[in-house]
Amino acid sequence: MSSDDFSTIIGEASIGPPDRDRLARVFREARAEHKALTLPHLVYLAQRATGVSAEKLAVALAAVVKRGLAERIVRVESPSGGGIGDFKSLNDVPDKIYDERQDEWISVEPGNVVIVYKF
Amino acid sequence: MRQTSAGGCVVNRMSAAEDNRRFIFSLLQENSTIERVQKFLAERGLPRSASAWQELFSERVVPALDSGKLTESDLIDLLRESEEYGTQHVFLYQTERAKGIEDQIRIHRILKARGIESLLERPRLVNMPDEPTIVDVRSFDSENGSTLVMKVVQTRKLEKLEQDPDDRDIFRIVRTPVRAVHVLRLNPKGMLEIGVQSHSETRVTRRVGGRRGYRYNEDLEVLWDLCGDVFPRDDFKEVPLTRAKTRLWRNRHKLKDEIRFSDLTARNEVGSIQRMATGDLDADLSSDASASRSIDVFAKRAIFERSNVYFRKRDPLPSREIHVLMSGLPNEFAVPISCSKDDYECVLGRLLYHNR
Repeated sequence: MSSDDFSTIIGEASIGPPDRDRLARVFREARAEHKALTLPHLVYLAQRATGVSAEKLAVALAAVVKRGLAERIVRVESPSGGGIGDFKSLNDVPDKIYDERQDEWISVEPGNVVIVYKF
Repeated sequence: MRQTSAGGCVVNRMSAAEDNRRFIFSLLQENSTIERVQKFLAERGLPRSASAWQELFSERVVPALDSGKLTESDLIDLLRESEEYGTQHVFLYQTERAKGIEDQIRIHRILKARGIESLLERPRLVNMPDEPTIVDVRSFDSENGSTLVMKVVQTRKLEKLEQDPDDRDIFRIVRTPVRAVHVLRLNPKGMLEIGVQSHSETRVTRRVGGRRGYRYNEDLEVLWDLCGDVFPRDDFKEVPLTRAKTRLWRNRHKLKDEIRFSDLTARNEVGSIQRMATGDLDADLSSDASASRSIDVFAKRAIFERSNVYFRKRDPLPSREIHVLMSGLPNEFAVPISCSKDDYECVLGRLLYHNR
């Protein structure tokens, strides 16, 4: 499936033109540059370019992930900043994780966890 | 009667030897890898194939020991290499008095006064001593002189918070003893490395008096106290690594085949801090053009306090990517994972080169 299909996928999430095409452009750019974006960042980019609500964006994202054009990962971040482990789902995140950036085992708190969409 | 006691002595010596072997094996399992032990056997022309530790020891190492093709001293050399490099925070110092400090007569006199001169012949195999204990003192020839090494074994208490099984509102601190190995190494050029075993678990409790001190400072105090007659504290000055931290970043494009950064922290002249980190631990911060530009602008009036640098695998060394955490005290760097002597010395050499 090519990234030209973004418009089709977003359209299936009940987002019509012109927002559909503007959002498709945002996703296409993300894919071309291999961006890794958190949900708040995607909301920001989407709302800057379109009138799409966060809820509709979430539906569009789920469809994009389902079709393999982006990967949704759960990233554990070090308290000192930066990722230290990527997981497929929240259930896979351990209670404790070795923080390579600090050479310390840490307890994983909700504040250390971000959802990232890798295009 | 005499025969029995002679037989008893032989049996006792054999049991002690067996105990030593088992203890060395257990330490190798904790501090080494099957591949490293296999390489060690291969270098001596000994059979080495095995798929698990137990097989390696019982089918390869034990027969080699029994036949005399391998000695306990060989295993001790392997153990030294396995537990003395990596999984440490290393603190660098410099002295003008290396020759005087390393003088063998002086070392012998000091150790004799403490009743531990036998360590010069043979290290002690110690598991979890009540107090930090010097277990090995040796010198070996190196370029332009000799290197003096002292090894200290300490029992640390690993702290964990656990929920009381009978009352979910109550948590208790469970302290488990763990063995920590620290190494002091003075080379002929007067550089002293104090390698303190990593504290990887977060401390749960505060120190007595309510202060939460930097743990490695506490470890250094213990080591200076214990080894200060051999390595007099006043003869050593700290070697800050600020230059290396700065140059590694500033020269990152020239060094792109040698290193990558996963994060760094800079502090400027008015106290503002910039912390930049890759999202992905395997990524290279210097590949992010906007992050790099931002760091370069900030760094014009800042110093780099902290960074996570990875020395890439190269031919011949390092044999794999080696992670170095540069943080904490100005003269401190850490190699958080276990690594070979050659890889450690390669990385240390690169750091000192960029720090000159």
